[in-house]
Amino acid sequence: MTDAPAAPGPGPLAQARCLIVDRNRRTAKQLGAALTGVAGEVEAQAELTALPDDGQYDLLCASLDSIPAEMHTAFLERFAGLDKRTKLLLFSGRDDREHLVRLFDRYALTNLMAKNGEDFHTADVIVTARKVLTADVFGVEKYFSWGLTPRTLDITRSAQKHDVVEAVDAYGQELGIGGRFRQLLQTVADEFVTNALYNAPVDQDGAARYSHVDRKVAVALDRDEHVRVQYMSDGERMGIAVRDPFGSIEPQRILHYLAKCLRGGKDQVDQKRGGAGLGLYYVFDAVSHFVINIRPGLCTEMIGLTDMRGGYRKFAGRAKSFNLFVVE
Amino acid sequence: MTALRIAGVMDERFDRNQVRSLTEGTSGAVVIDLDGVVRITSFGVREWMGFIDDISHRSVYLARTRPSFAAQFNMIAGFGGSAKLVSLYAPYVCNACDHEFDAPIDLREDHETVAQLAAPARSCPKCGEDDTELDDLPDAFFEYVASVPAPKVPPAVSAVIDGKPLKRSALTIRKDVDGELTAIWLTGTAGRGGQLKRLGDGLEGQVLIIDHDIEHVSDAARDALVDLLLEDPDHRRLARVRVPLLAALLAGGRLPRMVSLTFIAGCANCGKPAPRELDPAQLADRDGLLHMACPHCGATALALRDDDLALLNQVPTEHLVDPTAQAQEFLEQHAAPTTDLSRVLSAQRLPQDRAFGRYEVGKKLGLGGMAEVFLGKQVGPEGFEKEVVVKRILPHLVNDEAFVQMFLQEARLAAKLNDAHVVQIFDLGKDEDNYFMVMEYVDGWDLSLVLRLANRLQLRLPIPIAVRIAIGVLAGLEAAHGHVGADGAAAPIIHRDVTPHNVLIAKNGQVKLTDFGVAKAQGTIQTRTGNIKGKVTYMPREQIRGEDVTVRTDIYAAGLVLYTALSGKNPFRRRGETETIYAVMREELPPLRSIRPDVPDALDRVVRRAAAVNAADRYGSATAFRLALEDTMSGLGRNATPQDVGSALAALSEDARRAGLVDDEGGVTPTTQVRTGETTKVATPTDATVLLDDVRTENAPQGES
Repeated sequence: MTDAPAAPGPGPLAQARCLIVDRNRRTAKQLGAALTGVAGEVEAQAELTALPDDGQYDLLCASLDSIPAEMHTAFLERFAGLDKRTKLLLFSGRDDREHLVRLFDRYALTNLMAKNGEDFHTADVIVTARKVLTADVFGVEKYFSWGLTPRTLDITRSAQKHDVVEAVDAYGQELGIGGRFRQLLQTVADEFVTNALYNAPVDQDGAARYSHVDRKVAVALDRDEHVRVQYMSDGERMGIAVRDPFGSIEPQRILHYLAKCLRGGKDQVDQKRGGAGLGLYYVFDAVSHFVINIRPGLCTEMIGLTDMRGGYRKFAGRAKSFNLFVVE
Repeated sequence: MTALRIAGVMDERFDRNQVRSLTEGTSGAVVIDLDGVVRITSFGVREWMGFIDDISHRSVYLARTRPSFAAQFNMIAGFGGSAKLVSLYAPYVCNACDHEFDAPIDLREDHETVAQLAAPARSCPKCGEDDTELDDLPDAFFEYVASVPAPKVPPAVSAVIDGKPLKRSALTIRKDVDGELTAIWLTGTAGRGGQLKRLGDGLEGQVLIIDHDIEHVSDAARDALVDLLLEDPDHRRLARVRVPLLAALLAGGRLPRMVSLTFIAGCANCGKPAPRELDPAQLADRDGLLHMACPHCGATALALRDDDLALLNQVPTEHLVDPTAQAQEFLEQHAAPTTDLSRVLSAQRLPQDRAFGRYEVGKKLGLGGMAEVFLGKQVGPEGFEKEVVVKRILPHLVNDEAFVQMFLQEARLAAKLNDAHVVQIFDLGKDEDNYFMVMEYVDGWDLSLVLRLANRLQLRLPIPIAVRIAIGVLAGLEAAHGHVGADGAAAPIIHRDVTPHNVLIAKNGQVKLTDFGVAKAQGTIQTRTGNIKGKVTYMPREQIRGEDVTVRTDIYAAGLVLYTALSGKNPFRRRGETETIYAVMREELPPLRSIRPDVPDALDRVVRRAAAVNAADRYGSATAFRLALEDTMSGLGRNATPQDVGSALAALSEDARRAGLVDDEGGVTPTTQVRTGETTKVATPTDATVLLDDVRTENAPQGES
């Protein structure tokens, strides 16, 4: 993404206060420049010396390695979680499972941004900060340059899942994407669609319609309940988004599922027919940036962005980003 | 021991219970070859782990897992259960040429290296350079294998994993009789030659002996085979000769005539092997043998090995001859004996035919070189039943990407056509690793059979009947040619193989076009440049030349089908394909009236215009051709209705039954009404299959014949 974000006009963005905590002067400067275009006030600290109050800032962009070890627990307890007034974008280059389990399960961290040394997607930071500060969160195209349009498929039946996977794969082939990346993209499409068709649908009372159904059994939604699949690429990243019209998934459950699967314990794979846990874990593994947008009771959009720059080995070595947005 | 091979996407289509049932009734180790598993989903993981748990009382060995599957061992705790991972593929990338490839890692040999979380050195299969590296993080990719000890694998299990037969299988002979042609299929080890000597008893007419994977041939057996062939060299030929037999023949110094040789070629791009059956023209093109299209990756990088080329150089060219037209047709249509011979290792058990998805499968209706066709039944609640036809790729071809793509293409294209004159595709499914297609069941005849029966009875189809059938064919083509894409733009589908075989006639006289196996959407890119798809005898010259096909290609074929229906024979059919092609390319279409004087001039002109040499001289659309036929017949006052067609063919069928040409049980239906793709052979009274020898490959004494 190369276009500059719109300057904050009058309204919440113009008044938004942002604190950057990063001891790497180069990246701190880069982040500061990026966020100046999003928030009204941007401060920067090399290292956190004292914990700000919750609500003192609207947005806190902090590198985990710039938080003194003795403050980690208090810091995360104060700022991680959806219910906090100060929204936290935590930058981390660590992707070891133990670390991720702790962040997701214990602290309910919802915004983790990958930072591999000095390598991070500035554009993603801008988009994510803007999404944190506004309710405008839906759409995979936000993560791509202006002018690119996603390809769209609307489906209502489980039998169409294979068409979706095939279409995504064909698109990957069209772009000349290698076999291993295409397998990842197929996995993302497959798991997203399965989740949208089996786990997401609920009835008027909010009761799950198909989550208990064996995935071998075909299911269908009404036409006005169609699932929208979108996919696009700028040649460096591939994005796949699947939006269901239910908004039924619970944020805490997502974090719990991811933590459970990343932990790799005996409960990692349960044999019950329903449950989206393992699928979300597969997606998390297959993407560089996993975004979940929820408007409770109305819609859920899951977005997977796979960074293909430098080949598979580099992809495998990069830390991952994860964002969970819940808007009314 | 039980050896299983699992392929495809392991998702909700992976049936744990079904796979487990394949291991039941056996004892000892279970060896699972996972080479074909391309991806696994979260649901597939559950099923897989359940399956592994189900067979945890056995010693289970896993082999040849692809990277996406191998990665599961690192991601999912207990993914392999108590099974031992013996070998896997690791992803590599060549720093010299950027080629990405999967390299085999055999943990029986490489464990020490990978236990250090390092990737064993591998050369690039494309450029040969050693500057390659693991295209993943070694500590992550080898995390699991480094955490477990090197697998201890019993020799018998190793033999199965390495693809070595445990013992030589006895010679198996199958025989198909197709009119004047007798095809003899030889498989296994030819020991003393006694069976081959006896094979010549009573043998008459054209004989085609097909090397259906002869593993070894003794000198005595070789001499008996050569004696048999040279006894009547003009009529007896060898086909698909593989290296063991070819080497034995060359060593013996006496060579029979051979119509094709089969070699296992290797691809320099993807590294995968592919068997290639090569005819004399292909064998003469030595440069071409080094640049064949790879069925796996599509690159023109498939080449014969040096050893095979050296062997080929020893074969005098006069011993490589074209097959007769009948033999050519038989070979095109049969990849295996009509009586299916499941060639498996003695330790292997393969899936049995049963239901495909939600379709109950009945008797086999046809077997071709590419696919097999079953009568099926869709069963629903409250006693709902619907007869359908289920067509699936032959099991040994399920990993041949070219066949699979052709099969899927047929389903995709035919599914776009919803017309009464096109056989409908109801469903495309996947059973285990094999796709199947569910099609409309047409209770009736195919035109090819109708013409053969008429010829045998020395009858000609009544002119109005033949024309009405052609009108039905053209109506089907109108639907295909008039296809409109999702964007509303014209997207004609060209059938490319309109032949009497592909014209089905229901008992009510309704005509339907089938088999879009080689059809293509106009304007799409041909994947294998230069390949001729379809039957040469019904192709216009431009199609044989490999030029773009258009709706006029199908118009020509439809014209020639009508010509054949009226005259009783295809005017260009010759003994060999070369002669046939020569006839099509050089000869003029004889006036119909010269063969059948009662054909009106006006009709003759319409047919000859449709089958004009120059595409521009033909009718521009199927509609124009159909209207010309209808106008002509109206003008002559000789129109027939579909009901007339049904009555006429029912009468023909009854005549054939009385003449003993068809049996009472099934008559000519339903076994004759379906096609399994471009290579299908329908069962007809002249296609009787004779099972000579039912020697099982299991438990046969080594080297006995």
